[in-house]
Amino acid sequence: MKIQDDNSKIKYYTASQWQLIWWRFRKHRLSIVGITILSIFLIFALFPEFFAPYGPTQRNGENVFCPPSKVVFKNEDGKFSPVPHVYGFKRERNKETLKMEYVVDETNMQPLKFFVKGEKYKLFGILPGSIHIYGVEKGFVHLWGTDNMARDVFSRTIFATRSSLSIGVLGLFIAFVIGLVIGGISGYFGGWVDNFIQRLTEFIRSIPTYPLWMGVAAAMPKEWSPKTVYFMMTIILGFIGWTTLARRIRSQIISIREADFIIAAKLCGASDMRIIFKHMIPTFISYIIVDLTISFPNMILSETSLSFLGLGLRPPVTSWGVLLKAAQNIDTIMSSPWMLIPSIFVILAVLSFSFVGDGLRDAADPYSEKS
Amino acid sequence: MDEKTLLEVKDLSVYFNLREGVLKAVDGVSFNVDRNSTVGIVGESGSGKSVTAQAFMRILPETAEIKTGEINYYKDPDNPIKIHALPDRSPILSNIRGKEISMIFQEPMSAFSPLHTIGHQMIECLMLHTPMTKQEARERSIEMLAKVGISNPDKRIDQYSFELSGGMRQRAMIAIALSTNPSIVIADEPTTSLDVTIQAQILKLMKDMQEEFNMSIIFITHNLGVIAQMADMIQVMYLGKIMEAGTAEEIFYEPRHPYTINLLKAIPKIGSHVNSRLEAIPGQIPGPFDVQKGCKFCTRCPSMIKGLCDLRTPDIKKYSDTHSVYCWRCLEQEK
Amino acid sequence: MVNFILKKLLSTLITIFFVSIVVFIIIELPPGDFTDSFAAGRSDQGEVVSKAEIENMRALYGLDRPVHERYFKWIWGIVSRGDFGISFRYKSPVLFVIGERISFTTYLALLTMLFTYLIAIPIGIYSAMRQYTLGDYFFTFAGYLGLSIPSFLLALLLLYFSTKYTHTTVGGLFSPEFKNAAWSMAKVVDMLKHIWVAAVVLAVAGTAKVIRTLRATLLDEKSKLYVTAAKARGVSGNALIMKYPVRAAMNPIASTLGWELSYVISGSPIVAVVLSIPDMGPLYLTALLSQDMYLAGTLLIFMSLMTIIGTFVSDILLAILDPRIRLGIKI
Repeated sequence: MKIQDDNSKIKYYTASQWQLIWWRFRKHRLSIVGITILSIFLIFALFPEFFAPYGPTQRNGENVFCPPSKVVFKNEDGKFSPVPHVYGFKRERNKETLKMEYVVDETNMQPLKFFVKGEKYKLFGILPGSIHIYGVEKGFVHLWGTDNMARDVFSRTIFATRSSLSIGVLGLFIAFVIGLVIGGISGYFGGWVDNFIQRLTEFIRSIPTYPLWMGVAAAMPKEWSPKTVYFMMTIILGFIGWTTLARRIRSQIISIREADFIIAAKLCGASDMRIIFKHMIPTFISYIIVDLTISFPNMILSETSLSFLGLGLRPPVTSWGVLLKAAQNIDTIMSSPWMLIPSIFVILAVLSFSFVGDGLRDAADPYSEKS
Repeated sequence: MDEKTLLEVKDLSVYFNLREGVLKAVDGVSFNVDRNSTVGIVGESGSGKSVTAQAFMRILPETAEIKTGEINYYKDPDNPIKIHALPDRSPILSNIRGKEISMIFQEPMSAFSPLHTIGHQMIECLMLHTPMTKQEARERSIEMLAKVGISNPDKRIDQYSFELSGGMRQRAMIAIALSTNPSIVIADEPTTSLDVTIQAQILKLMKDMQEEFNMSIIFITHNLGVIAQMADMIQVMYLGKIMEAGTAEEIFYEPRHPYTINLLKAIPKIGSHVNSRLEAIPGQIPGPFDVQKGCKFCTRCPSMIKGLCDLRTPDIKKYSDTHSVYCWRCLEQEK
Repeated sequence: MVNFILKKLLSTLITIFFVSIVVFIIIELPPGDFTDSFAAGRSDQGEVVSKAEIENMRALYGLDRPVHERYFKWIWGIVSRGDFGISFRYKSPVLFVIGERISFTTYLALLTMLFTYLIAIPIGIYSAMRQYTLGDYFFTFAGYLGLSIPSFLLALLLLYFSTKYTHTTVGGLFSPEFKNAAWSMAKVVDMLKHIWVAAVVLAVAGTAKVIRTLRATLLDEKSKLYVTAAKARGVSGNALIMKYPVRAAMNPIASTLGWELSYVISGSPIVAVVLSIPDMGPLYLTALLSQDMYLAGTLLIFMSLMTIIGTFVSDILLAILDPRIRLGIKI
């Protein structure tokens, strides 16, 4: 913060805690990039029906493992056009290997249309609509190809954003509640309770996380409905993430419990409730938010990994992990490498959360104003 | 330059290049340190006194640089070493640090590595600067620890700093500083973190040591009481500039600069009237980035001359060979 | 020091006991037991298994006893004769099924740790000493990326590119000619040729984390007073950096060594599955999927044991490195 003139100085010294955090956060360019990407993901997750040209289970006839459509900035006459055009595919038998292959159909070219009418949907299950952000009038366009059931990979990735992010949020919420209760009790009471809980956490942490929760996830009966599995998974993710949060919350509470201003409030006769809500929580809430943001990537990676192994979410629920599970064996990825494209979303999401988390951490720490 | 001079500081300026701007921590400071004498640098926190001392050893933080000025070391009067001009990795510089000039820090707890024993750090220093073997260095260290009044020195030498009490730690710090027989010892607030009784012991120890080892001391403190006991010459600093310089007698009995006068008024005195109030210097130290034209003290000075003090840096006014003041008011009174 | 080790040893034993309980709970977690999934599997193939036969099988494997009885029987078997139970699927003792796989997992974990620290320590020191230079920014960004790519994806990508451009697959643990050969120097070399890919994949995230910790600690330590004090005593250049800040930064490295190993072991099954490394990982997955619970439980116990040993070693290491821990002084 450059303090040049009196006005900006007054503004600086009278700013609220959140304003200061925002000012410092703004200076992290990577965090701003991160928050932009996350906002886009959030919009995808809210309105996937609009951003995906097709439904998550809509099939393109028999065109399984169709490669990504070829997009060119040319029109039918071969001249440059600002409107992108896509080629269709035709299936031909390869004369050497005798396998059926997709070949770009040079004769079948059409402009990529924006805001086109397509399959009907209901936003949030109520608002009817049929406009998709892009599409073609005849046939299909698959920017990221199709999968083994001829479904559009791009559309499925957009839809998967919703389940992957929502399961992360729910998992994080559960982890937070467990962490708050256990870390809170541990930190607030101290003594043998603290000791006992610390020991218990240590035991749990000494069992390797993924194998442990793979075991629990594998115990989910096959007959369970995808919805039940989804909720079980949020709980499992919560259990994966709680230890770190509990430890952080505990140390926050311990460091604050003995702080002079808390003792001063106690001496003034403030009630426990007032101390907790007026003094303690505002002091560490920014740190907790930071911790939550930093924990989020772990949620996404855990979901993706468990689903990838077939121990997490199950079709017809689509999540990033479920999509990548289809790209598990070497034959599939060799013949249809586009099945790996959804991983870009995973990487971007995790990267963005790390950027935002680090930016917030530096911004929330009043002593981080380094030279 | 006369023969007594051991260290000469000429127009020294140290600037910090910070994100918020350039901070002039030391701004044109000049003084001499004579052989076998004690120079006290006194000032409030932020006056630049510690930075000045750090510049002598070239151990400034990375963000700081010596902008102008000279630091000349006259161990050999015919062959002075220009400390300010030595390259960072110069072996001469490494030899100055610890061998010619050594330093006693304010917080002995954090000035010792918690992962190495006291002895380890002493022996390291001795082996760097003397041709001693490890065994000899160890014996010398034990001898030094005994000399500064640490009991069971042969046991203490293998202990860690956190196993000693505060006073013992500071004694050990002094033992390290003196072990190589340096010509100058810089003591940066050496007693501030100690209890008052321990303070007195440490001050006495330093005086005894000075007699035994024939060294000069640069004593940095904000405590006028301590400086009165220790120093031959005193430099009063305020915001990176020297306000007044003189012998201890001159500063304490004939202070001239309004800042020094006010500073002395703020010391409680035994025997003064029970209800008399201590006088605080009015106003606040300006922020480090506030650009202040003229005399740095003029914002708080009771006898500020408008149109002069706040515009032009005051010239020197000499009252004696040793006593000099930088103040327009003092110069005006002359006329 | 002896006291310290004994104390740690005791708490390690208690931890192992609790871990065994947690593992047993997991074994017991799936509704139904192996006989159910066995019967279901058979009836899928058109064979009908009668109720009496199932009951018989249950009694044979002791599945009809109460929970605590089964737990103590299992534990007693382990403690008294190293019997971890029977793998229902392979119809033979669990230890026999696991066989060499334990050592493969161990090699993989050790090699991963070796890579992690060999790469992370120099880079961490470099980044901290050259803060805000191009190199520092590069490694910081690479670190972010390394933490963001799920390990299985990295393995898949390596698999894809190696098959596409070198026409050899990086998967597996041995070349065909060594698969069933007796152990020899050549076989070890062949194993190293294969296993390093998995080790690198597993090491990526850990390396990024260690670099981060090391960089942060070094930056913190570098500006501490005792470093300035050492500088003021004439210690300079690399000796100053290596002896004081780097030495101090080794403490958090040592104290997180156990967690680092735990992290590696935790991530190894999924990477082993993708790269088809015949260690405990893939076996664990199939055991879980077929509810071969004693096998799964034993594998989980072994994986936990490795982390517990790692934590124990890291505690001892920290005590050696940090006198404050050794002398029981609170920092």
